[in-house]
Amino acid sequence: MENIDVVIIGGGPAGLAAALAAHDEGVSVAILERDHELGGILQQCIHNGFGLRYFKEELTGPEYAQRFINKIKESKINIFLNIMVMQITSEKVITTINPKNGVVHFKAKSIVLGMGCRERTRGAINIPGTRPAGIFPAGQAQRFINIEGYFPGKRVLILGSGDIGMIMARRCMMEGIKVVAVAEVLPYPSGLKRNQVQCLDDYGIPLYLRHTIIDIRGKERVEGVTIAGIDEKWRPIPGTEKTWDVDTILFSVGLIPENELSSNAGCKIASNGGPEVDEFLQTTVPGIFAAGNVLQVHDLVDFVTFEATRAGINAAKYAKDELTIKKDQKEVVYVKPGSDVGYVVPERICGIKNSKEPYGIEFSFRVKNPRQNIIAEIISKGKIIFKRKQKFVLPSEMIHLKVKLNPEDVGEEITINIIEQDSSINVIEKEMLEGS
Amino acid sequence: MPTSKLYDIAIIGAGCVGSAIAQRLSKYDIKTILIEKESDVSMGATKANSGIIHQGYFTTKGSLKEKLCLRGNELIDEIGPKIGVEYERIGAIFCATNKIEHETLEGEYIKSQNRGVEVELITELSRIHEIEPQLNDNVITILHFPRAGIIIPFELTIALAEHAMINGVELNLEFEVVFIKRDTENDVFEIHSDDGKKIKAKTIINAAGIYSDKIARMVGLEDFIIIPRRGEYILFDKDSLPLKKIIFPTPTPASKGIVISKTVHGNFFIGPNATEIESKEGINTTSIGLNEIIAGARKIIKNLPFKKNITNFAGIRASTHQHDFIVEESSIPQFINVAGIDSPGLSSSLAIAEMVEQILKKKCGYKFIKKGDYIPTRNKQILLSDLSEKELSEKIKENPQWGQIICRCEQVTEAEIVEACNGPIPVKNTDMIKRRLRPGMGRCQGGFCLPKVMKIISREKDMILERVTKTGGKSFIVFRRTKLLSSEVIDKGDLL
Repeated sequence: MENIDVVIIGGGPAGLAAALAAHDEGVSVAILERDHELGGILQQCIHNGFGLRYFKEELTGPEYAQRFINKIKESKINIFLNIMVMQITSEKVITTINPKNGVVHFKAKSIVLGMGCRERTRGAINIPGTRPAGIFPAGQAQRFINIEGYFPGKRVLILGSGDIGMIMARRCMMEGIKVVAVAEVLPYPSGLKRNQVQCLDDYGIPLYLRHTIIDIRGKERVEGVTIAGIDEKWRPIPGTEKTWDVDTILFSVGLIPENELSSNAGCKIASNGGPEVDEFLQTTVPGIFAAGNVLQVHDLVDFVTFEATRAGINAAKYAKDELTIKKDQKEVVYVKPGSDVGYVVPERICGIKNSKEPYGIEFSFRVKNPRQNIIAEIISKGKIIFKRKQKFVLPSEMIHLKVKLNPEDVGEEITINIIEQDSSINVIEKEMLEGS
Repeated sequence: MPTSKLYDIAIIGAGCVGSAIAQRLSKYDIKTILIEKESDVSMGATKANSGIIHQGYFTTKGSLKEKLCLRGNELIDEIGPKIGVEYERIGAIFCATNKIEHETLEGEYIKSQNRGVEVELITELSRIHEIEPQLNDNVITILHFPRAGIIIPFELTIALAEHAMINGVELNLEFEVVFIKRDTENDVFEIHSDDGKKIKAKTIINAAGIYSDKIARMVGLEDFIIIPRRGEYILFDKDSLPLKKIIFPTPTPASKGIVISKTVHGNFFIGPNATEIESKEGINTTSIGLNEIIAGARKIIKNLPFKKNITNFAGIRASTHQHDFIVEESSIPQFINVAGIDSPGLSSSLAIAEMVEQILKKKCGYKFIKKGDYIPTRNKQILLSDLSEKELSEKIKENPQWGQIICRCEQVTEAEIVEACNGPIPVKNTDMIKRRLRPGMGRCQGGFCLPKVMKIISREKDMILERVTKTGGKSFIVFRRTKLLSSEVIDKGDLL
């Protein structure tokens, strides 16, 4: 049994940042990574666009990861590669296996979960048709091209305009793989605007919004695909079918946080698929923290780094017994996603009720629909206790609210709403907001 | 293979029926060959069905289906443990939601009692929900068959085929029979493949599933046609719904209805519907079909966990107008038809094999002499999940590949995949590994492990990655390296 203060599960962007932050707090840290190198999914994201927020410069995925890896290599952080975590217990005993040392147990004072996410599959969204070779999750196709060095196909249709799908559309075109179209079930692209412009528009790839695949043909390898427009109940509209002869279909239809380990450790899983956490990013199991895509699927890796840094610091403090909140918090305030809000992290706040001064909290969440001229408001005890005006919100972009709330304003729960500016506030308030 | 070799018996079709017959015959001193057009056994109707060991219910009195299903249900206890296949008798329940359905179940209850089957009719609501808490509240009666069970059809078939091979039966994969010549002078059949290969045998057992009518026509028999009936399924993730039983609605004359059942590996599925289709290869799923099975499942159970579905698939039943199994020597001597094996075909397969053995003995003049060197058991491959921590540590010390997890969803190690690659049936593609060890069956559907599995197959089978297929034939997964050194640029040709 290896005794370590803070064990980080996963050596991707979340794990790297959490490890460094915890290490800076002066505790012993280990990273457990199943791959043969650190960096996680960033290693296959060879496009640029990473780091604008964190480093204020534009990096590729491997470059972004390498900056952290270099620091980690200079530090005293223990790196375990090719190691698979089989189980985590609520007592924070971690069972692993690896080819060199066999079954190894770690005992941690605290843990940061950084396992990331997996891709939603074709089967999970019930796309009909045959099941030949040539159907790939977009991230897997990315791995084939960027890491393994193989063409996964020659003519491709992509379902889903998530960021990976759009990035892969461009990547395919660069390698000489023809992308016939991208189809998206929603009425708007589900990835970042910049990716729509740089990856689809610039390459003349048509984007069919409110369309989905209604048939896949081919016995051995994909031979063709048919998409159709859908009505408001998501049913295909007859007469809108478009068919292509393609040999490959990529699915970029969402990411799912990988929480089988967390769940088995006893962490309560929230509706967005990530563990329920408090404002310290601590799960419902004391001493187990979560950050990055295992907690909530992020739009930018920079935000993963910020979030994981917080988790790393808090995990180290927990290990040192310095985390201010008590383990048995009774006065918990629950955070509810209100109108047009998909989910909110954190789901509960433990420290505010005992605070004697305004309490700083960072919320992150996503909206359900693209909206203009909105107000993000926080409501508790029937009153608006915070609001912020915003010109645009998109489901593809996370919203971060750093707020200070007065403990006396807060009841048993608080709700975050997205509302339209005009309908919700009177003229005086509107003027106040616009003046601000 | 030398074309001159003469076999006693050629079994055409390596589904559960063909493989069960091969396994049965492998005990005896008979030269048997099992012929299959696909790259693996279990690729037709067997591959995608409900995987239920039925208990003779809702079969016609006096039919082969009734007799063979009941016998097959017994035989699994005799054969299953010997060949290392897992099954679980979790019991099946039929549910009635109104008076008419209740009466149907009452009728079946009496019929089942007359069959001597263990069965219980339950109308007490508290007991109904105790037996299966996931049922809807509108279920008023259930008919409980405790000896019904679940099994993975392709695991059974692989085990049967491998056990046959251990005992000397030859398996000839990717041999698509295109014509059969009767050499009446020598009393021999010549079986020809699409690529010019030839197999000679004294006796043919036509177990070709949905193609059994086509095979029968090759010798001039036109007494039955197979009507492909597609059944679609949706599979859900492990532990997403704690089901205790195999759940049926009250059957109608047309179909047993949409089943909800857990699988041996802890997943659960809903399906199948029943659609007559033109094509024998029509294993595509459809929006209409998937909606139909969802609606069907919702009638019986509450809490269908919609975010937890991981895949959908379809299989084809080899039905006939006769509505009963055809297991007989045909009007052509030494040509035995085993056809029309739709539900409960899987449950009956072991009994069908027993019946074929009798036909061979009584009608075809075979004298069954037991092999002296018969190996009565087949050891199941040892899996990571079978090992204690200590055992695993030992294994890793011996072979570090035991410490390399390839599939994280189903927890499969490199050592297991390597062993399967070198098993009795030559593994050539990723689906074969998937059916044997389950990488790619889990919630990520191979999103992470596919490239790794491909690399292992490529290494173990000494073939370039471009040649590794998903399911044989031309189902190539990748088709060329993106970057080649100038010294490497040779015309490998595009494989797609």
